[in-house]
Amino acid sequence: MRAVDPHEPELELYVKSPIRTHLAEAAVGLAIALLLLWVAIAAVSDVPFVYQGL
Amino acid sequence: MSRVLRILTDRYGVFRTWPSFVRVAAWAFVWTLVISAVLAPSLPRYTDRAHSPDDPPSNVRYVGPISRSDFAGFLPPEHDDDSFTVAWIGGSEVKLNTVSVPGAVENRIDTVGGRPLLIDSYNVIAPRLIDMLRAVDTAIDHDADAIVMALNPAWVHSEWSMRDWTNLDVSNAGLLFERPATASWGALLTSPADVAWRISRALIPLVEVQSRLNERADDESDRLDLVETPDTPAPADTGDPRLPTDPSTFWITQAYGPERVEDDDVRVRTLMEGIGPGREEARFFIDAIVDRLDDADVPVFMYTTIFDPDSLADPAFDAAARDVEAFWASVAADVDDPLIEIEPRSMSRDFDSAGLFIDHVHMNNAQPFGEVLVERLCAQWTRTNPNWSCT
Repeated sequence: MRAVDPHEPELELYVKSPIRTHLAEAAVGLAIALLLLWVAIAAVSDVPFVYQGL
Repeated sequence: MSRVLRILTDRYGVFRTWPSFVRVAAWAFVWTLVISAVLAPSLPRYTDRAHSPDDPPSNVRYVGPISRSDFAGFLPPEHDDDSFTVAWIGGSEVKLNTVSVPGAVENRIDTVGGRPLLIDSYNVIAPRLIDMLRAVDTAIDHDADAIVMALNPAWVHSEWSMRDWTNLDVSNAGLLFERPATASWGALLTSPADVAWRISRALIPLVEVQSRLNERADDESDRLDLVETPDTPAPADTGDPRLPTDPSTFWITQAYGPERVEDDDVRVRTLMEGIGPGREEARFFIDAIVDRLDDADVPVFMYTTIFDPDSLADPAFDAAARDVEAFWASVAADVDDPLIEIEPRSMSRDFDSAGLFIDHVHMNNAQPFGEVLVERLCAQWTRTNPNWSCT
């Protein structure tokens, strides 16, 4: 980890509580996974597109 | 977005260091696997495919795809050691609508060597040689006890294309690379997308069940549709004989002129004789198939697709059919494995097959041919292993 800059008071939060950083990383990973799965499902879907004039 | 990123980096310390990037990537990978495993319905099975039921009913399991957007490939069930499992490989001449040649055989044999007969039919419409190589590969991988293969006249000439079911490039992606002889074909025909699909199918169950999800999505989109999906319009008849409505007729017209497509006997005969150059590629892949079958070490019966006797009554069609038979006879002459039997002659020449066909190769009643095949197959199987008997 990078050394804490005393002029960045927020940094102390996650340096003192690395579990919060890990939880946030897991949440970001979850968001990326959901996007990946969305893309994967859309890529293998062969539902025909029918233009309905909307 | 930048505000979210700022909160993540400033308040939670995410993405401040390289290890943080790595941890996020690892989490994304793990979540992808976990979510897809939890959400995915059970994996695709051969029973998902809506093949027409046989008439008369049979217990044949049809394991081939029926859609070119189904990337699951051939899906035979797990091999059962207590059964005698036959892999029946072919095209529409094997099974079309409710008419089934393996069904006619399955209804006439209960057991082989004391084990109940099971037939897995690896049939797709209009298969080509590489499609069949993949069927053979899957059948052998699933420990088929015997293999039966209908030899299609379309395979004799390579210009009909080497494969017609490009979705099998995904399900059997590595097959052509397994032997040096076919590796260059593998490089030509297998795209990076096929390999990426294969990997993503293996890793992500939600992708592997795409055929089932597509079915659900189809139903859902039908439910949400404001208007009915229109039927696919029939190809427009331009009235110009150089622009016929189907591809084979187009190529015949290009090569020989429109007079060759006026009579259906002449049209099919022309296709059997081939358009353009020779048959080296066809022979190459037949040899690759025979080579693979040779390694299988199980009885293999290959027979030329039988022709309608009415078509054979036309001397020109008969000449084209004899040319096809001569091709298979030349293949048979080079096979020295006693387990592989090739019948190059159209067997419809040797039994009363009048009135059994709806066109040159498709039947409306497969029962009499089933009887002929039962005799041939049981003879081969009992010859292979004298302890086996057909009941």
